[in-house]
Amino acid sequence: MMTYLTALHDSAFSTWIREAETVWAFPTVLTIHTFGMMLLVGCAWVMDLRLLGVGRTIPIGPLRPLFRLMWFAFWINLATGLLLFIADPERKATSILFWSKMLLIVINLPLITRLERSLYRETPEPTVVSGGTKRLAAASAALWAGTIFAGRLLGYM
Amino acid sequence: MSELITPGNLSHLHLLINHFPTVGLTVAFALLVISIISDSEAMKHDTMRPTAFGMLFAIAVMTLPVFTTGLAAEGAIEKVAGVSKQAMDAHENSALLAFVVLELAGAAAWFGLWRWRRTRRIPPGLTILTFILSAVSLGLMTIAASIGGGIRHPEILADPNTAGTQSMFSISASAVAFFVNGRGHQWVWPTLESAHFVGMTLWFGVLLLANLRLMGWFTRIPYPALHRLLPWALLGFGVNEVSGMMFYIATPKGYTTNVMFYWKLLFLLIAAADLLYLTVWPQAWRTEAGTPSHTRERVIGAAALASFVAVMYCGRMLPFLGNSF
Amino acid sequence: MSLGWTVVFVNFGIIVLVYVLGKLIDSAAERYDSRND
Repeated sequence: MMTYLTALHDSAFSTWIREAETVWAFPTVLTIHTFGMMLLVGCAWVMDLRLLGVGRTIPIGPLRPLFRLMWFAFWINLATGLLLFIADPERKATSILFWSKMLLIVINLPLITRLERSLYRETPEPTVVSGGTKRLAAASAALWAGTIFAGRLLGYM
Repeated sequence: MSELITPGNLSHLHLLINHFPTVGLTVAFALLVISIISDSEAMKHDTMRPTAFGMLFAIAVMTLPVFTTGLAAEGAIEKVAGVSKQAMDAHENSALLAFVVLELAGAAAWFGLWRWRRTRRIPPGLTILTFILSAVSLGLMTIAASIGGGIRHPEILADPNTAGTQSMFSISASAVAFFVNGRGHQWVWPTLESAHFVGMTLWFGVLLLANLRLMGWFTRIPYPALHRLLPWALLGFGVNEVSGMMFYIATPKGYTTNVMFYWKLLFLLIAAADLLYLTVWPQAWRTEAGTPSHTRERVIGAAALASFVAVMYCGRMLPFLGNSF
Repeated sequence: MSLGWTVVFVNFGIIVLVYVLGKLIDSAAERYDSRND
């Protein structure tokens, strides 16, 4: 495995992302990744806050497109995240921090799918949020927080 | 653009905009007092008091670049003959306390405006709180400004030999810097950075939804319902202002000569203007459920969203563009 | 390692604080918004 990662690290593409003098390489990839995070977690916070009982006059039905926005942002971050990995594959692949972040995300994604489904299962205009849905929302929010922290700490590697 | 960042311009900028928390604050405070002692119900609830609150909020926002350019000015003139580091430190420390209290006054004023938009009344408690905080900040700003004047004009002081005397109403900037950077404190900077991201995602999420509503999306959500979420944007921004100021005070040299930081501040001012618009403007408030938006609201919403992304961009690019760290 | 956990704990503390403050403000809004209807 390490030989493949080393080969990846030595590849022209990886070297370009990592070391190119241009701002269009690593800095741009990182900035787009940050934008994706801002959009993804921003929508998640708002949805989770509403589900936890904040701003009760906001109808839940019309909020559903926020899930679309979140998935759009996720794909952006998957792509840019892949590029960031390629730029530094050996250290990332052997980092507990990196795998912790991936784990948090892998747990969160099906949770969010389940959250959307359970929320809108009975009716497209839910007026009551069940205790189970609230717990899912709180858990998802906590997982995003952890993902942010892991990601930020990764930046110190 | 970065060629505009010269020692002369940085000091000049500070001297220009430091009029906001001094002259501006005096005027705003005077209007607040008038609105309190006036017998007219209209002055209290419809006109003068909300205006005074709006001014206080705007001045609190403007004082962020005043503080940051102060440190930039220090960097610009610290090597000049006759300028005492002691005087600049005394000014910075008293200004820091004054700034903190002013930001709290601005936050209280914003809450007053938020309540006023929702119920056409400003709760008396918020008026009292805002009055006390702005009175105290006005006093503290006066002290800070006087010490600041003494840096280059000791003749204004009763005893010119007292130029640079520390006021007891101060927060030690070097203590803040030590907390952030000191030996054994390695956890602080990464913690503040993570907090900065948390705050950023929170204020962006709330203001994203509010501005998209302005632009004509999510039309089945009544605007007043989204308006109720605005305090969360202020809370998120509060976390970012505190963490941001700690970064800045701890390592000013990384920011004061970096043109990206000034761009970031500019876009932040635009974002704050958007928050004010979303909070009190009748055209925003009256965005009815189901109705299409006007062009003006679409432009404001789009410009606001662009400036949020620009704030993030400038912040993220600080180490790469410009000359930070 | 412990630095990472410090970051996590302090930040969760900040999040809890923001959440509690925000909830208080929102409950106040729930109570007082309808008063003037």
